[in-house]
Amino acid sequence: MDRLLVASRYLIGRPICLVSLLGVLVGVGSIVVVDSVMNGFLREQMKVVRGTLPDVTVRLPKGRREQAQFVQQSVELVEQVPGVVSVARRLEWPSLYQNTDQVNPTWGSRYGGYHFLQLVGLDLEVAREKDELMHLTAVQGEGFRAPRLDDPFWYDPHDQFWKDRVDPSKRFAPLIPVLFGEPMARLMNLRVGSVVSFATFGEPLPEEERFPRRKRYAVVTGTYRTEDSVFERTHAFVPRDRLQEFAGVSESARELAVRGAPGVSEKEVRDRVRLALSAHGLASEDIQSWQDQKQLLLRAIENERIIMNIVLFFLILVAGFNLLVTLSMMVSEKVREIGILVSMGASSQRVASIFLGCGFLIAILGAVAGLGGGLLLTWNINPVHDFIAGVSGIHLFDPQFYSFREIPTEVDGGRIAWFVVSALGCSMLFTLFPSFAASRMEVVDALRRE
Amino acid sequence: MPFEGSEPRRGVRIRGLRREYVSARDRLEILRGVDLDLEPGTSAAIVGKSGAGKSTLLHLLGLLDRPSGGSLEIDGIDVVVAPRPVRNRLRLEHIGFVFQFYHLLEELTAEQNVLLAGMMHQSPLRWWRRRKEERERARALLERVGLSDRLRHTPSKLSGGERQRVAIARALFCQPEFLLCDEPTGNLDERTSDQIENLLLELAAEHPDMILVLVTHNLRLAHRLNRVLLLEAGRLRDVSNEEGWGGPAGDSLAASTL
Repeated sequence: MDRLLVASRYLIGRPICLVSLLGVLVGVGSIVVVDSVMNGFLREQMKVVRGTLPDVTVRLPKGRREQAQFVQQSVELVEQVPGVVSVARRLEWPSLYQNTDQVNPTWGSRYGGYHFLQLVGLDLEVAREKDELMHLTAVQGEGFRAPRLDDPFWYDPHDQFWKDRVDPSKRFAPLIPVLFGEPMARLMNLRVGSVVSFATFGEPLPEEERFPRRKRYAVVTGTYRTEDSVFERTHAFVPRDRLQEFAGVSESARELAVRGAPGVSEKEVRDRVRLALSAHGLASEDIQSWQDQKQLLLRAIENERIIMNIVLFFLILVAGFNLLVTLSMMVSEKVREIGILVSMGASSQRVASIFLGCGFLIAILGAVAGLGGGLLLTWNINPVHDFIAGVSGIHLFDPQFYSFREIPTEVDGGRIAWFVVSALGCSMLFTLFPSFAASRMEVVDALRRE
Repeated sequence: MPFEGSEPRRGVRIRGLRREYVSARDRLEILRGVDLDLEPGTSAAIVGKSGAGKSTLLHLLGLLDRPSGGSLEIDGIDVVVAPRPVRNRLRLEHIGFVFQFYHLLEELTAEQNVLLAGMMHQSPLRWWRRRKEERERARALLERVGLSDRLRHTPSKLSGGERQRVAIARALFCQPEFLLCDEPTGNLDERTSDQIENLLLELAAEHPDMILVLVTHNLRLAHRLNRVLLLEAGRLRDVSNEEGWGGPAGDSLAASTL
């Protein structure tokens, strides 16, 4: 009780302690904010890294993927794997495209009006069942949103909706419905009802040593958004069967996109699928989770996190050194009082515990205030950013550079608790030296000090 | 607060107590074999020239310092060889100090300075249970020393005499068996000195078993105690009964000696 009384009085009577407390507060608060913002950025970065990759991808080997029966059996085998929610055939084919309504004056001159695009064949039935269409149709705004959200590939030349939008000279051509990435659509002035022409080379014909040139018209039935802005600019979705027909390829799929059930890790799903398909002649390396495919980038992200931890640890160290200086000053100021306490019967442990108590009070008050302040700032970081930008004119976060509109944050309770405990531990460690010095003081010398 | 256990109190017994300070270049012998017996209820003044070692002896008596040789027994316990925790415990429970420069904790109020001794004396739980009772006791003691209206004042708002009254109340709060005073009036004006002297002697009289040891240059005060001990050349001599020390005639002699 006496230690608490003396420690608290020492703290209240010394403005320098407030500075030290502010040091811990700023340290812990910064950790909370930086960690939460970095977590948010990493989460968004992770989404970009993942892009549109499914949980697990099964690459079908060339020579067998052309056999419809093999593909069908593979699909059925994977569907029976526990923890698998859906299996979709996936076919991609490169193509050139041109907006027949309006040739982009800049790009059009260079490539004769054609631009490169990767067409992705989508299994509409599977996608519809599993809510995959959500992000394909979520774009708001007349002219970009698909007219039927349940069927973004819906196109009926006899419907008045399409009569009003599609060039009558092209309306009755066998148009392929296509979904463009929304930024690309805006850039290329493509709207719902715009007609584009696709051109590509099909598989070489067996009897001829050349690639057959193929060309089709397509109608934009909507736009999509993903977390991956690069993907949005280079990929367009079409119905898989229409892509197969357009490209003139015998294979119905090159890959199977597997989605796992919530709560089942991608690694677990991958291992189960590997086991199920091993008897079917598929090698393990053909079956990869999205993390396997992006492992280099994920490692880079993990490195970022480690570097961030090191930087944050330095913040704690600075706060700790601040505390060390404050308490050392306090001990040298309180030499005579230490002597008084000892003359009253205080043991060296009791004297040390007074200064440890001071350090602990500073650390705990600073940590709690820092935690509260940090969380408050984290939860209001966008309004605070807007305010600072409004006052200073400096935009610390520019959405143009990112695929998200606001500063993303994610409070990781476990990590923050660990940081706070570390800050407390570190602060206590830094109070040990002055406390020990106080406890070893020569009492007689201390009492004689004027 | 008497010693725990059934042993009767035996006071202080000092034999051949030595204290020297050794540095790389020289060796300073302050106490060269002090012998002293103090029975319970004794009040003794230690007088001597400045630098004679009066405070050093008081610090040894108060277990703040360890002697270089000799023995020091308090109620039969050899405190020279006693481990640090035992010495701390003895100091906490049986010894009270009053210093020349008051030595109050500046951040605490008068009441808190007095209560601090009680807080240190018992466990936090016990203190919490007895806090009202202890506070009443502290207030009564402060009232006894004439500071009932200064309870919440910090030392910086008190005069020198008032601070010394707080220091005396603090020293007596745990009812020590030994009250050690190091020039308690040395920093006060004459009128205040008189008040503090009277107060100290009154309080000592109220605690008949307490041993009061007082280091002073004030011979008038020394004469009012049972014994006067002169520290000279590192040795202690009881001069209470020596001719020339007992009465006013001795003052001039003493003044030239001190």
